[in-house]
Amino acid sequence: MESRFELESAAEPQSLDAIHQLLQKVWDSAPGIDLMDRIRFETAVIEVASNIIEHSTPAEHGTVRFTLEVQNTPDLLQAEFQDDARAAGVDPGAAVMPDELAESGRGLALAKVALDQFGYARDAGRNRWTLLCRLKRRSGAS
Amino acid sequence: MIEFVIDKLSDGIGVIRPVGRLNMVSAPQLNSAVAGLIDEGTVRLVVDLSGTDFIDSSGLGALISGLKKTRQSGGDLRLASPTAQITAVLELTSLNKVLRPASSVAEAY
Repeated sequence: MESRFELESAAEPQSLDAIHQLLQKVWDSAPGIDLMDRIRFETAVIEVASNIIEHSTPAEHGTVRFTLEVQNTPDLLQAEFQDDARAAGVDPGAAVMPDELAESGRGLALAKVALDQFGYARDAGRNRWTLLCRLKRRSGAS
Repeated sequence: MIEFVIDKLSDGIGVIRPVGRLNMVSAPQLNSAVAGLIDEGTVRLVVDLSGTDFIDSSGLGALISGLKKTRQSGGDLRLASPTAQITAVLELTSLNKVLRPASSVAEAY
């Protein structure tokens, strides 16, 4: 069984609550997903959203907007963010955890270690972020 | 969406209990709560995470900031009762080495 959930929002801090609510719908629809898999996926999704909210520059005037699509299958959790900001120009694969006493700079590195695949591409004038968790332990699901 | 409950124990330890999510919205409030207690001379702090549903990298940054500020003032900042997501994030970031959580506020010092 596959489920798909979507959200569209301005890139502002209040949108984080809407993302948590969207993910709650995912968990409610698939109660068999292991807690640790939920935790690492939700942690990474929120880090990418926070990165978009904090660091995006609007391509023109106005506010950056993003879409989030979450899909779950019996084996995978996948998320894709697309935003209309200027090119983020980041390489998620190169994100490294900063010094233990650093007060910032952990966001994308945390997403990277939480996920099984983490990608970024500039595609048709939009930033596209792809996140994937393989479900290692699933119980009670068809 | 978040509330900070602040308490002072009889042995001079300050307890900050964030209830809700500790993220880019609420992390500055944690910084303010720590600064307020240090200003009052309370430098041995415990952050009671039993009511903190979720932490992100901004929340972690605020905890590290508090750790450094209390130590600079001759005190310390310790964590108590982390929820499952916080324990996982501390492990994923290796911050469990510098912010070793206790199982309760009473066991933090």
